[in-house]
Amino acid sequence: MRRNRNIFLIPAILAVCLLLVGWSDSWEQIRRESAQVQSIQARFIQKKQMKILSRPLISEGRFFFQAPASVRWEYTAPVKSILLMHGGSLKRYIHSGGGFTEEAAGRLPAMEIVMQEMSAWLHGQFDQSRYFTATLVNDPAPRIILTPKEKSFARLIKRIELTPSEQPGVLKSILIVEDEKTTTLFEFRDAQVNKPIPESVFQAVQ
Amino acid sequence: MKQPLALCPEQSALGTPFSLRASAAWCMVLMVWLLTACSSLPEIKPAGPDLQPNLRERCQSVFPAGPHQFVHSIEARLPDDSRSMALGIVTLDPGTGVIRCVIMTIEGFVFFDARYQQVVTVNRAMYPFDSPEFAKNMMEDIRFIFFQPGGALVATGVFDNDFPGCRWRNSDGLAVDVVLNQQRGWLIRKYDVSDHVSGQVRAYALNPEGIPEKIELSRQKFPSYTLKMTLLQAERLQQGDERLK
Repeated sequence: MRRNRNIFLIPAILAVCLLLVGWSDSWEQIRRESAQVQSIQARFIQKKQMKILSRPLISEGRFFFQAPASVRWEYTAPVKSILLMHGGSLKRYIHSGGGFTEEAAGRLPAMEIVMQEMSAWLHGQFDQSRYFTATLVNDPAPRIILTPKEKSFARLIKRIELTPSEQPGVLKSILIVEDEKTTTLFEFRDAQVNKPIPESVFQAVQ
Repeated sequence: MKQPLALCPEQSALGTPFSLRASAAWCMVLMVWLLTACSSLPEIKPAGPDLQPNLRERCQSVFPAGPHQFVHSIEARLPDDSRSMALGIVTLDPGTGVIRCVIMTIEGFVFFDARYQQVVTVNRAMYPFDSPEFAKNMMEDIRFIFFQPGGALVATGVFDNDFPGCRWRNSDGLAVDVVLNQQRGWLIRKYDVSDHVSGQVRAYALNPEGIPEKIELSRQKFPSYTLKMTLLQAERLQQGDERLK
């Protein structure tokens, strides 16, 4: 069970990162701003860069987050896929044969990581994270650097860089660094904060 | 008795689609027949003078000539009909037999990275993809799809259903057929020692460069599975490209 979580590492991290939606240049301000954000929705572009690739592998999609812990992470191109996290369950659906089908691996547990991190990070309590050490960096631009605490994680991910946009409570990007030549960059745009999101968005694929 | 060239009509690049009910019934009858039949390879008859001269070249042309890199989305279907999706990058050189294969989640997390050059070297493999058997089967599948079969080309001609093609046979006596379907694609089938089909590749939806945008690999042997691959990127590489190392 512990080993299966690796496959869900990135979805779990993305879900946790979405909780870092309110921040500024101090942990105290992050805690205050975190409390103000109840929902967020945005489009994203994912750029996977590897030494083996001559150009980045680009994916596009959109995400929705509703406090305390509902997430819809949806890819629209080139592969259609939807990750739904709601009410303590995590499921992934893939587009196949003209419709969405629940992915087999989606039944595997990943909530252990997500829920433990959410409860701490939602309140800006980064020092209580079991899996990551968080460092606030303001030079040259504000960023939060997350470094895995466990050796098993550190072998997979060197660090995660979260960059805020100028819009309060909104991420500009998430950079996941597996090694210096293998990175995944998520760039966000068209973000809307605290706009009501129907609960069905987190429950149904359509 | 001879094995038909298409196991199930709706899955064949070569057959006319049937209704779902008719296809299901047809497949059931066929499966019973296959289980009880003594097997032999499909017959290849000499092709007419307009087809025969360049058949060898046409069959060989379905395999990449020179180093290439392909990026696919891969949908895996297991016997219990469960499905998973991943992205796969394969860099290969048919001349040297080198294969580099990376598989990642849709979110970009690499869970399998290996290179083959006579032996498999695994750079990264996450559970449940960390067994030597998985790496070996992965490389076998890639060779089956992209590399010209090993052994000698022993026959060219026309199969039972009038589609042209070729047969290779390796030193162990195992046969591989390539069946051509004009400009639509091709079918590759390999046989076990009893001449039963042990694996099949169906390639279709060719792009302007003649590269299939859709590939379906099915493996009949245990553990059976089907991989449905959709082309995302294709690139011809130079000899000695760093990405092959």
